[in-house]
Amino acid sequence: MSFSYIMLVVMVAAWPACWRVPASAWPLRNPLLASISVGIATEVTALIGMYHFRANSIVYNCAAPLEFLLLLWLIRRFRPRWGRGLGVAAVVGCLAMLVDGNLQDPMAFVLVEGVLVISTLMTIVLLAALWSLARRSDTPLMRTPEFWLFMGLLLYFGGMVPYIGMIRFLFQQNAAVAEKLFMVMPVLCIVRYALVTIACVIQSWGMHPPRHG
Amino acid sequence: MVVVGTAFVLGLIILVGLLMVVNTSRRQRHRAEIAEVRLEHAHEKMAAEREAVQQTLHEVGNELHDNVSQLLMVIHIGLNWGGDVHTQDPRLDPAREALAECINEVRSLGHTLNMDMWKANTLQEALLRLADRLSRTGKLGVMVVPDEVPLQLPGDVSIILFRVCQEVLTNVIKHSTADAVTITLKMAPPGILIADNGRGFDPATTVTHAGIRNIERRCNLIGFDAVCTASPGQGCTWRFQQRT
Repeated sequence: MSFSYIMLVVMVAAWPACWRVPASAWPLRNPLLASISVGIATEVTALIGMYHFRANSIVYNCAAPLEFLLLLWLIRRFRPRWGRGLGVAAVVGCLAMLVDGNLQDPMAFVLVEGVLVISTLMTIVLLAALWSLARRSDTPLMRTPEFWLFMGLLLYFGGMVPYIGMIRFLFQQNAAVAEKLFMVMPVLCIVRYALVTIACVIQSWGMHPPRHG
Repeated sequence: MVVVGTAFVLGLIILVGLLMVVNTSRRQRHRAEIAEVRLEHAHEKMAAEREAVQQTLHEVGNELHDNVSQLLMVIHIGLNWGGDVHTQDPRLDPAREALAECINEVRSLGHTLNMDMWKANTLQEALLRLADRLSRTGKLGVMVVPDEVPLQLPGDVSIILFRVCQEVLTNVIKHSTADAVTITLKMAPPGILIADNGRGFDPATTVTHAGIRNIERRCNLIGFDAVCTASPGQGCTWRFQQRT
């Protein structure tokens, strides 16, 4: 429980850091702000849902594809030429969630397979974005806000892939351990939003138009 | 799960390291590109300056030859007007001589400034003429040592090198107390060596004059290095070498 609150605090701290960056100075600002807003809304709704109805899977099932699309929009802003590939990824990710939603009860369970597909796609896209950034950036990566942003997202989605991929197996083996391991998710989320905040702060300090690509 | 977590962290560390290497190489390449662009820009600027100098010299040369020397000639005719030489005022003789010399100098200057002259003559020929003129004064013996292969340079480069050599020789006459100068021409790479047997100087304690700075600036304009080596009692040597 405490991890959830820390996670919420870090997410809320990321929002003003992102808000302070003028949209004109950073093309990624609007999609990022939208994704942070969706993340905060999801967590708040999930917390309320957990207290009142003891079921919040539907919140995550709805938020996952929405956040996925927002992050693809963010990558599209970063590399406009990747539009077609990102469009394909968006269709595949949303289809996976739809199919999984039809196979399972989205009100009762988190759509694990759908989230796994989305996380895998995001990991691939983020790896490509980081590689492209490293190859084209004229400034050191540590001083590039996109590096911190994509690293944060990669840690989150990349970390989610093995965990989500093995969750059914873990529950079958030892449900108690699997439950305990669930705290990996808020930790990854905290790291993600902390790195997003760093990215926004670096962008605010620099406040120069991106020099890559 | 621990193994997966460790593998994940290790993978991330390797990824970050790889990204850093790729980015560093990219930035190094970028810096090299910038340096190349700057060099290209400097060359273009130098070429433009040379072209401007060439054009100006051409205009000045034409003006000296066509206008100033004609005006001087009119004065010369005016001074000699009114009968034969015996009836002329002898007090005007120095003025007549100075005027005749002035006309010759102006015409000669006009010729050397004219680029067309450098199409017909080489730097070597111009230096030989200059050496001959200076040697005839009896104050300074100038010897030109040509290379086996004649020095072939574009007109604008030749004229600037010729002016530089003139400047050096003027300095030798004014300051060095030398009685012999050797001008050695080299073709590969193009260069000139001017050595005198004068009193020399200590570069560390001698103030650099505008003339020396002018020599260096002119050489820089045509892509030549100008290096002066001197020491007290050992004369002075100027080396002009095209940058490779």
